[in-house]
Amino acid sequence: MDESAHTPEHDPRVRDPDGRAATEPAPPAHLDGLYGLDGHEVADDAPLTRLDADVEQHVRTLLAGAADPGPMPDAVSERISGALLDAARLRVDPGPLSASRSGSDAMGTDDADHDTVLAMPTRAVRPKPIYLVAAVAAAAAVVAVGASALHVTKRPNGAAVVGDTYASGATTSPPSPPGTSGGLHIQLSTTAYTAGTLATQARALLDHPGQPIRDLAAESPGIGPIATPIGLEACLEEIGAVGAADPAPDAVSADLATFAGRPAVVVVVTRAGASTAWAVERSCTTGAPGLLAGATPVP
Amino acid sequence: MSPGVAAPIADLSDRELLALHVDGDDHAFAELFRRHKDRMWAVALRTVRDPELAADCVQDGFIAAFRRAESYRGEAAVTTWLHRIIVNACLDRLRRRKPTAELPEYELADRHDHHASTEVRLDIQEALARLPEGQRAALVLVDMHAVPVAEAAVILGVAEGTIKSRCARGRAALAQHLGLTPGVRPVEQD
Repeated sequence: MDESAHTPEHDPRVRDPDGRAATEPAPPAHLDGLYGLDGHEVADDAPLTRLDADVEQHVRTLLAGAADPGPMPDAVSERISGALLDAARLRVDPGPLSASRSGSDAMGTDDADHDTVLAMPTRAVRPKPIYLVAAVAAAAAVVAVGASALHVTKRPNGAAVVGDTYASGATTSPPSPPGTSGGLHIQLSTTAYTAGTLATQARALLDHPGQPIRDLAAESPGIGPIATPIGLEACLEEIGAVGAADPAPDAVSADLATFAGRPAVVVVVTRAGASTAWAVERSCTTGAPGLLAGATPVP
Repeated sequence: MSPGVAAPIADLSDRELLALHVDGDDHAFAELFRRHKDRMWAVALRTVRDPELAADCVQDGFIAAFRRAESYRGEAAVTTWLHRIIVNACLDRLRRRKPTAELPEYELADRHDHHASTEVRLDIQEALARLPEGQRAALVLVDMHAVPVAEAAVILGVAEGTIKSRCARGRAALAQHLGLTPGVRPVEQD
């Protein structure tokens, strides 16, 4: 290791972890620099007393051979793994806005990585995350309406999807949300839908659906209620895709992706062998359809 | 590396794993955590000297890394990036508790402790605990984890010279505490 420990250099551009400028005045001489182990901290900018090289090497050797804390305890590992799973469930496609955010952060080139890390509350005092409450509510809603095929899984392409199988609505399947039959599929993906290609992209969604979104993510703040059967149904009714007078669709697919560069949901309703696609804002609900692209026949 | 290649995830490099994670892979970050958790745990525990606090710091750090993975642009090793986030999480936690609490006298488990060496090691831990955060963090990285000075500078976000001076001051303080400094009596502890 190339280190000249006897050549302390302070960079006036930086501040030490205590927030002091590295060039701030040294402490009073009577503190005599670093000798503060009798209950006082050693000032980081105190005058440096140079150590004999052999003594310094001895200290370094002692430090290198100091006690190994050992591996992370299983309990801690499990706890952090759980926290990471929670974080994974909240992952959604950040959409085009993410580009501007990530573009400014670079390792070692700005303060992004050494700024204060937002601390999570400790497990002992951590309040129940609101998304868990929402997830419980979503799960309850799913149970209530019987749409049991709601899952959320992230995919290698950035997608997380909903409903891996199209339930047929047969008598063995749980009841579906009113207005739809059992074929419900909701997914998250990074597909960039556009007005010009909506039809073909919707066809691809039907032919190659991704993994279904997990129920725990269904009502996370970044996704919204449209990822739940009830929320989706409200949207479908609002845009006229389903109605009390219409026959129940054979299948409904929803892809939480982007449309024309903005977060959106593309819904495809299949009825009697014909599929129609719409693009709506993720906030689509009763009274606020947020229609981005009207009924588009899917080839 | 193509995301479509079915290479075992354990065979992928840290950079490839992070890229997969950014692309939405479910398992890539878990593998990064598995690979580096012990080292990050050691760094955090040596920095804050409190297992509960260290656990919080490592959790803060890994969650931050998980959420901000897209900020990694490959200009440093992934481990350096992780170190930086974890160490800063530790320093943040320490600053927050500093006004009301001193570092606990946590004794690191040492599977090699025998007789007098135990005492020396405990003395080192004790002396380390009394160093300013910056000096302790520098010594933990450079002398205890053999992190190069340049990398430690990146991790702590300071100039290399600052790392050198902090290490020098920290070592001198430790030498005095251990009675290795000629003419200076070691400080008696309670």
